[in-house]
Amino acid sequence: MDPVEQNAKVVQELPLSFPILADIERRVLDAYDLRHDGESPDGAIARPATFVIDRDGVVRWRDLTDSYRLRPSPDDVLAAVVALGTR
Amino acid sequence: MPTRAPRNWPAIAGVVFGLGGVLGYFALVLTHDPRLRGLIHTPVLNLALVVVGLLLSVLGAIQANQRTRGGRVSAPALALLNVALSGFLGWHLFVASYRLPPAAHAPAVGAVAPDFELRDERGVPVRLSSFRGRTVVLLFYRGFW
Repeated sequence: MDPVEQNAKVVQELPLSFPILADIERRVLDAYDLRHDGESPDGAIARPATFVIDRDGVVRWRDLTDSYRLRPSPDDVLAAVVALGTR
Repeated sequence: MPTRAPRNWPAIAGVVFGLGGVLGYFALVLTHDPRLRGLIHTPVLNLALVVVGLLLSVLGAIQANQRTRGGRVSAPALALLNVALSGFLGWHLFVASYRLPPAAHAPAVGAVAPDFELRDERGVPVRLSSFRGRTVVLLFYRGFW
């Protein structure tokens, strides 16, 4: 789980249009049941997961993947966003 | 003066193919190139290299075993190394990467996403519910490698 300083370095290299959040205490990992223990010497990391959340805060699409090698493609995520309509 | 046994080329090529397949796979992953996505998800090229390498290793080991003098040890040893290398790649691709926690209580489609507040890369607190009225993509990743 990367600290704020590591995320700052990433944003320096990649000008991203979205924030990278640091869940140092793994509170959000636990709230979303995505804790993957024993994968990193400094504690749990995330089971890879992607959620598309609508304007009312409701999950409308998600991908939890069966293998950490296989992540949804950006096209799949974008299609889920577009399916909700734009405003 | 005894002449050296001729080089066992299949044994050497086998390990070269095996190394190429295994190291090549991780090199592909590290490119982070979206165009290579298919080749990383289903690494047919790397698996083909590994299979050819294993066949060559077996051939090399058989040739070594048929020798009447010298060079009977290194080819089987190289073949064993190649089996270990290929086994590691297979284990990573088809076993280890599927060992994930069940996530049975992850927010389902139709559920309200649990709210939270975390600091962004500038240290500024960001709250999920502050995005109400906008569509949000929330992505959990495994950290910077």
